[in-house]
Amino acid sequence: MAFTLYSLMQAALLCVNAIAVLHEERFLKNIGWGTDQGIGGFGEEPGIKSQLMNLVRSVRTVMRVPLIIVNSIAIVLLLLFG
Amino acid sequence: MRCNSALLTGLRPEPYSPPCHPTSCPSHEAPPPPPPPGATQPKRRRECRLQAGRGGADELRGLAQGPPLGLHQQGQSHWLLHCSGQRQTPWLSPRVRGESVLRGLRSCPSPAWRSGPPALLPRKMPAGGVPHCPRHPQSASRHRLRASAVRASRRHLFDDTSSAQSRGYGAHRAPGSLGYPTAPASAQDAFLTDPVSNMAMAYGSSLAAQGKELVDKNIDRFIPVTKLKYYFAVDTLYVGKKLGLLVFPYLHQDWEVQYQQDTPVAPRFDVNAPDLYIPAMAFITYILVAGLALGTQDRFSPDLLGLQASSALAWLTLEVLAILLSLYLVTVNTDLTTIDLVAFLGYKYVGMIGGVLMGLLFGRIGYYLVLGWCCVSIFVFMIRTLRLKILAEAAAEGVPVRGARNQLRMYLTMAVAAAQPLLMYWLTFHLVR
Repeated sequence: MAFTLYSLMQAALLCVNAIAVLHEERFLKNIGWGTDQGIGGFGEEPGIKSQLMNLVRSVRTVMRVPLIIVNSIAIVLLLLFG
Repeated sequence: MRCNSALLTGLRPEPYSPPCHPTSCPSHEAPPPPPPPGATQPKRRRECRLQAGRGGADELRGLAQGPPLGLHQQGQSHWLLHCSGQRQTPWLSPRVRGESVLRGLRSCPSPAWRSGPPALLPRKMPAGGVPHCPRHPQSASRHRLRASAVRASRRHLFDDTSSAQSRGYGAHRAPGSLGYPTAPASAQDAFLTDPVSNMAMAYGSSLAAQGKELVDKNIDRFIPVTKLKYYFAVDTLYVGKKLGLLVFPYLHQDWEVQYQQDTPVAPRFDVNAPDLYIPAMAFITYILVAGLALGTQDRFSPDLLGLQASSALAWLTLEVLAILLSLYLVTVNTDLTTIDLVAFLGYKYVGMIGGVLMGLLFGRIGYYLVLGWCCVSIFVFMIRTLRLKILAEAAAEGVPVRGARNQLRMYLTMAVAAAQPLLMYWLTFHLVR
């Protein structure tokens, strides 16, 4: 059972990187997940799709700078220690 | 009308308003005006409904003729001593104890109190002697929207027994060492009677007290210590009952957590409240039992213990993150906090321990039998507990509600509950040969 906390952190870092590289104009708008296409008024229930779009947008906004730092650390550590 | 103001107006003949912390004694404002007769009752949490009007105050006054009022005449300190000797002391931090003595009257049981007029005592008095809010059929089904500000006031409402003694002890040491009256008999006494060293010791102790206050104030920013303390406010009876409930949840009827003025009751007083003691202990026991199991098969090495611990923690973290994500996506308005979730997900370690131990004693047959039983029990337990948290409105009415939103929530509850047996099997099958 080699599922450790370290591998969980690696997987989380890769997932967040994957969300961060989704390009707004070239990709998200084309599949209808752009940030200006999600405003569904002020109704009761946002729905899963708009929640996901909000999540993607907030991850991209919030995690941009910390990801630079964490990725640099990960690259250095992997180069040094394999 | 809330309980506090009822007692205040009923027992004290002169107008007395104790200096009260604003978040813990909201009853000092004017009570809200009664709703117009035609209006529907607003959605409120369950509150203690000890009505002081219309004869309730007379009962309170009648009771006040007995010992509690006599105790008042002897001064507040006696009541404090009386209360602190009880097993269930009032839920107060030492800071507010002096100002909420009358609250202690209500929540602190004494033999004379128990024998008071039966109309005053609420119908269901749990073992802790704490007044149980009578089941109001309307408010029992209400959806609890939890703001984080409410959780901040939790610190005043449960008995924080961990720091009281140390604080009292620390405060008593300094005065005792000052003003040493007798003549110096040795070098140490000479040191103590020297006025400069007296001042130095007083200054040092005040510095230490300030430093401790600073640390106490700031550590709450990083680790929610008072919130965590709520989850460890358990006693042996609660642990026994909860373990029984985890293994046999089929006969338990009432799964709702009791509330006391908008905050849930400490686990010590309600078997339905989540706690972190059992999950933490069960996790550690699981690691040890895993080491034992590996040892009996000659597969043990010390770093395997760390690997097991890390693996179990990683699965727990993954589960918590997955459930938080799905709760966010389904936009469930729930008062299920992260720590609550960790507590609920940690209950499966109990079943895992049982399964592995039986597997050690009786081989694979015993392992499968006990694990199967514990899996079904945990499944039922999780469904019944989470149903009240995630599906609050639907569950309370008891009707299987259709509609896309509630169906989605039901699926989420079932998925969470179904993941427990799977993980229980996954984390233990390699330990039993």
